[in-house]
Amino acid sequence: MVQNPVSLVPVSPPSAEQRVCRDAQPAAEGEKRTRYTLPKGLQSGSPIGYRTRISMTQAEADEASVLFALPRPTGFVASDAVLERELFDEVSLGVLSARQSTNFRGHKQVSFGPADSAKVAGILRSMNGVEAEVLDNAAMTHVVLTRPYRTPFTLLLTFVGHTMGLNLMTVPWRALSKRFRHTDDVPSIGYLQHLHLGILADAMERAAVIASAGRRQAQIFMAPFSDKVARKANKVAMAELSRMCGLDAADAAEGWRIGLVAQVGAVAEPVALSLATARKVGGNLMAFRSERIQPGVNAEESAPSAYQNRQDMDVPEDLAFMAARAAYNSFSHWTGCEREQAKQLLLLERIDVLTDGGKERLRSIRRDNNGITDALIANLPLWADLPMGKALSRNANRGRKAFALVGQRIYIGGLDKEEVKAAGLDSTVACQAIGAASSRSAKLCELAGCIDLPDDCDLLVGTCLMAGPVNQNDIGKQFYGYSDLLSGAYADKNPTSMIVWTLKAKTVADPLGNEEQLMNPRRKGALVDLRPAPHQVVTLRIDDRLVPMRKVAGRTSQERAFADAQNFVLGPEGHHIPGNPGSAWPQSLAGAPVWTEST
Amino acid sequence: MSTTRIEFDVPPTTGSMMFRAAFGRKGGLKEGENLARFEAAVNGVTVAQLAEYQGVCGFPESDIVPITMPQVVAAPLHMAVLTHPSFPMPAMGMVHVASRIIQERPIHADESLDVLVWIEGQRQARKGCEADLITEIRSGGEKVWESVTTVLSMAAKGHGEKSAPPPIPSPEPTRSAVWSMPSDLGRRYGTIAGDRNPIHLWPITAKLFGFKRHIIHGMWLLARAMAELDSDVGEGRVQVDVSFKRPVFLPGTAAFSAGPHDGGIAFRLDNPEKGKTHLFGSVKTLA
Repeated sequence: MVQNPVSLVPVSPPSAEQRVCRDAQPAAEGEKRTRYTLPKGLQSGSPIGYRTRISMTQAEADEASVLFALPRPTGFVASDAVLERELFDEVSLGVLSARQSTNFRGHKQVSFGPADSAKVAGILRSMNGVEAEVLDNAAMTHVVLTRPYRTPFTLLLTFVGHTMGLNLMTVPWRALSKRFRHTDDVPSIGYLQHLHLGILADAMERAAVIASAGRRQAQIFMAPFSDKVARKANKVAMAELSRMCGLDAADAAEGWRIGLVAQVGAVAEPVALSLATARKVGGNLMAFRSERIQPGVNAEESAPSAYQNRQDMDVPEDLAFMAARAAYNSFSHWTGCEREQAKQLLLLERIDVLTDGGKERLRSIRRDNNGITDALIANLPLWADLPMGKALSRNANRGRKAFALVGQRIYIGGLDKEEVKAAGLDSTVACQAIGAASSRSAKLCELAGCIDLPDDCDLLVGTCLMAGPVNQNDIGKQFYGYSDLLSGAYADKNPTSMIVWTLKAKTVADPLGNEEQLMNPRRKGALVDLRPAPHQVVTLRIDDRLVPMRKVAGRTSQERAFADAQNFVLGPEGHHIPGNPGSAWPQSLAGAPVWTEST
Repeated sequence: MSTTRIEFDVPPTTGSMMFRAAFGRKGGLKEGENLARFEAAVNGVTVAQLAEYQGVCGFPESDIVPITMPQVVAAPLHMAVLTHPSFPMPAMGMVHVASRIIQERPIHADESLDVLVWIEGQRQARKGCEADLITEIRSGGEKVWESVTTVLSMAAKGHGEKSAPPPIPSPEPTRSAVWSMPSDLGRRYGTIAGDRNPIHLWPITAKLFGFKRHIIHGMWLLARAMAELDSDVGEGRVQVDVSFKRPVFLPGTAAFSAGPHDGGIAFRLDNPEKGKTHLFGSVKTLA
């Protein structure tokens, strides 16, 4: 599918007196540590670390814009073996960092060398519904395993929407059904698994290019694994692929299954991306975070002044336009539909918060979602809530923050499933494509916010991908008679909203404590995904053995990917946070080919 | 002064020596007394348990002997010297305070090594005296590795004068990682290194010797540091210096950092919570 070229539009910083940036300091002796204080250290195998964004020139941004409209590769050529560090960089941009829900780890990856890749290609060719040409000469193939989204929030949902009296039976029934049949309480929880996979697919496609500075590309397949019908049609091939991945009955019982396959290989015509720009983009992608704390909106009173002051900044209209273009590109790319059709099928409501109409729309969404929360709490079975000290209702109440919509440009994305079906598309694949679209759109904006980034600003644009408002609305739809978030904007259709993403021009990055909650298992909080180390989620198949990546006797990796970008958060007087810059994996291992056979 | 020389055909086992160290009684050095020369030698030793050593210390598997491993090869001779009936100071209670290692060239796993160890003389320290245990390793007559292990014994009178501690280098780190050390690390390393000093084994055995918990071997910390430094250590003629400041209790964590300093690489290991330094040192390539 032909994608329209996108460009990265710079964002003007505010006047010098309005510029603020994160200035986290260590807690003083005896002072209580908060999320605004500097962490004492970082012990993590995650390739990310505490990072800062790197300023890019307009020329570098123009070069990087190719990453937001990558065509599928048409063939792979024979190439040098993949070095271990190249693979590390690639998985660091992919399965180890692709934006997922913050308190859920739902992906694992098994990577195969050239010989196994040929076998996987044979399996793919035997499958029905493969959405693109299966290519020969892959240097490696990644198989991503996925599982249903399950968190404390979905545990709470088990108790939601039951009829009084009958709930003594219906709650256990639903709990058992979730546990053993992997059903979802509301459809939008099921969509999360697909959205996350789409986000990862889009990230993996960019990752292959960035990690190889344009030499390699990825050919990604999701359709044959998308839903039960597709999987049933490919039962034998799926079983063979699962066997190669070491997926056993216990994994399957936990809901793990194959989500996507990515062939990665050298292309005859490299993508025009210089090594220097690739490293800079890689460093920036490591730095991007879900920006949840918006100045002047929901910062606590105790937050430093940098988080309290409003700034006269806005997301430029041209950038918002490019963000939407990137989203349509991505949707078209992953569903295989024409771009004009993508504009019809991908339902997008854009809310410009700074306008009167935008403010009113935001208030109405907030009002509705609060109403749903009130109904939900009133409807919770007391026999479950009271013995738990009202933990269920407390948590439901706390959830209001998860769907607090903030930003300057807010997009609500969704589909009319009937319309999608009528267009001959698979609605699961379309859902995955919406995840990819939102992610690509947000990443484009974040990278644009690094153009000519002044020294006294952390960033110029922050983004946030949220499913919370959609999930809350879905509870209202399923149990309390509310209409879909998109029903106002698409009154003539039967829309299903799936994800929200918000853009905000600002200069101060999230409190570092938010990231610490992601990195430090001992600080588990609402925002924990325990960003994984390579050995925790990536398995390599070498000589018919499955081995965890970067785990050798007595040692696991603490290397940070794209560390050469040197964009680590610094403490007072420019000192590094202990453990944050990481330490390179032994060169004798990192500099060696992962698989010795050639393509 | 007389020399006490012990020669072995094969490296001695350390079990009985450890028993002597733990339960033997020695009076220490008398005032004005000088430590006589004690030496021990064994020829034709090959490196054993290389893969296990590499594994427990975090070195990648290779047939090159890690720069710190010859110390393990020589450890039985160190014990033989320090627990010799005529050696005046008690081995138990000696504190390993510093080391210097000079590797002339990398040693291969299949080389036959001649090991000579000696100690002679002492110097007064603030609390007791320090002595240098020298190890020299030859292969085919060529010196390939040597070390100076400085130990502090309280079984002698110290000069009692406080002196300013040497500054600890703090370069811009090119490596910074936090290590997790499990409770059984001392037992696993001790088995491979042949150093089953009770202070490294269990909390209860360490308590018997005055420690609140068991501690990891200083030489494991140095080996892990060399593994972390990886190719930064260099392959030619290399000198490693290290000062051990505070023990690391098990289980525990420590923050390692290293960066270019004074023509080489300076490294240090700190307590990530309290910031106190466990050890610091440097690696230099020699001409």
